[in-house]
Amino acid sequence: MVIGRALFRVLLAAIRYGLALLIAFVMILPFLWMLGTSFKPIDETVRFPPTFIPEHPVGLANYVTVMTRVPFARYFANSTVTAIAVTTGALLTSALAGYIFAKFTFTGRDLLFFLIVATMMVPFQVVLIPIFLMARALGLYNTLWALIVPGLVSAWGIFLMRQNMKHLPSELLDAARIDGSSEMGIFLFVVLPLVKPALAALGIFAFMANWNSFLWPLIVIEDAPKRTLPLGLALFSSGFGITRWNLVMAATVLTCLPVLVVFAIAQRSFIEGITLGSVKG
Amino acid sequence: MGIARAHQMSVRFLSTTRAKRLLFIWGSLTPIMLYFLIFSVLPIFAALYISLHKWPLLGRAKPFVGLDNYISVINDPRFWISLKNTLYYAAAYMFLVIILGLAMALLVSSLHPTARSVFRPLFFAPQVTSAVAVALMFSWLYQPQWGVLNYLLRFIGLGPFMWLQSSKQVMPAIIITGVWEAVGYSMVIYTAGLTNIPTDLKEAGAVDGATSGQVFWHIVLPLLQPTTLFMFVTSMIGGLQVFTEVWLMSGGGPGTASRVLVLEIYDQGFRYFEMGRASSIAFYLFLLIAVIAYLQIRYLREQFEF
Repeated sequence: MVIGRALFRVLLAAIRYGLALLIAFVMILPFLWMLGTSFKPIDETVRFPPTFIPEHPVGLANYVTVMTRVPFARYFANSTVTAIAVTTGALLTSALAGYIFAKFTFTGRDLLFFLIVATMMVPFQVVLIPIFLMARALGLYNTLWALIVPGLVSAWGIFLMRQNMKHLPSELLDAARIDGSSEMGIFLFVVLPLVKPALAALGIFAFMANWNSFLWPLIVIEDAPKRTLPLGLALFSSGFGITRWNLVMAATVLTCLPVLVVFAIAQRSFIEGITLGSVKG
Repeated sequence: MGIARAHQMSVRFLSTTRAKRLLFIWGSLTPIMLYFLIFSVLPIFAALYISLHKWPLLGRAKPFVGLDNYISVINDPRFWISLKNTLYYAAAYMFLVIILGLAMALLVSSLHPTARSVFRPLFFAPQVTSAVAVALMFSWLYQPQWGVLNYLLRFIGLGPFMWLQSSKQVMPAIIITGVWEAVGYSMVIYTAGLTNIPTDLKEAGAVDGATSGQVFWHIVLPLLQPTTLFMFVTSMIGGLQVFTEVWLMSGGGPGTASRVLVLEIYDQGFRYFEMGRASSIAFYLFLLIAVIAYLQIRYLREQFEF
């Protein structure tokens, strides 16, 4: 009886770990297939049965070809600059507006806040065309500014920050006021340090959303040197990729590697940030 | 005398702090709210305005046409195909992301902490990979002759499938891609939901003689309801807006087999430059999302009582 129970338990654990390994295989397969293909010569990509590990690896030749044909370093810089600009701007405006909505009473507050929540429900595709026309009218079309300007104030960010600041003790803020701090000083030196986790969550969320965004850059960027990484990769592949999968996969590796490396180093704060950002938002 | 003076001073002090406070409130909020009005509120009304006009991007004349765009879209069979595919995608995507995310959350939390810290980031990795990269990886995975997926499926006696080149399999293929990408997120959200359930509740159930299955169905699952509602809303809304994967993997084909609403908006607006028509399709999409968003507002109100 006791042996039976122990055996049952071991069996159950084996099933659990087997299942976890199976899922891990499914999750990792596309990455491995991408990585393997990126080191293959072209004739090895059109062979059956396919090989996972290249039999005749070409070293970094595919990567060199991609880098010489496409300005990937430039795309990387464009993505980095725009994502950092939008993230910084959205963090600042969201924290400030969120704080004011959370901790002050003034006429019109509830109406304005309702307006913010209401726009959160409108999908981006609805405002896509007006914002596109505005970008053209403002001379932002086909510049990196077009990727930055519309994202500097985020309804979702304001909402998230307001939720996280609502429960800050008002006594603390009043104490700082009595000590003679200015309102801006209280915001910068008392409030912001207290909501670091929420700021980190919003920062990670905003950065990832911008880094990976595709539809908007596809519409608003025309010249090749101004493309972001996803846009550059997409147009590179749809250009001549279908027949050169080893090059497309090398370009794909170049695109996802930076974020995956950052994720591998800071995965705990990534996952915590995204959890906080979603459940609280 | 002294008291009156002190009172006078404190009134003056209060009114200056009050003025300072108002200055801070409106000095900070005005630029942010103006920006918000220009880039978030105004475009909504502009979209409505544009949708009531024939609005060719390059044409000079932009006549008012009333509801013509909305009506002609409804009479276009392609719109209905896109709508059907979009609903199919969103429903399947939502269902699979929720079920698999919950199952994976339960599985991973039952593992040894060391194993947990290996599997959880691994399952989450697709979520931090850009959708463009994922779409390309899967296009190559699905390649009918040389792709590794057909090769592997042969071992369990399945296939070969044409995947993206078959009008029957193209939607499932894109759904699998989307689910693969998002399931790690769902797992993480459910994990957070699970850790919020007090253990003594589960223990109480076990003490009362409930099997672990009963504890799950009658204690854990009902307590996860807010998490499930959240996942339902976000994955439905996300699913209804599918675009990147479709654009890259199938372009809406073969034929019209994988056309979706956002692709329709994109094509009308930025291939045929009919901004009015594109906007009217966007409002139909909005209508769909509004139903889901209504549920979300109710949920947010309950959770955060604003």
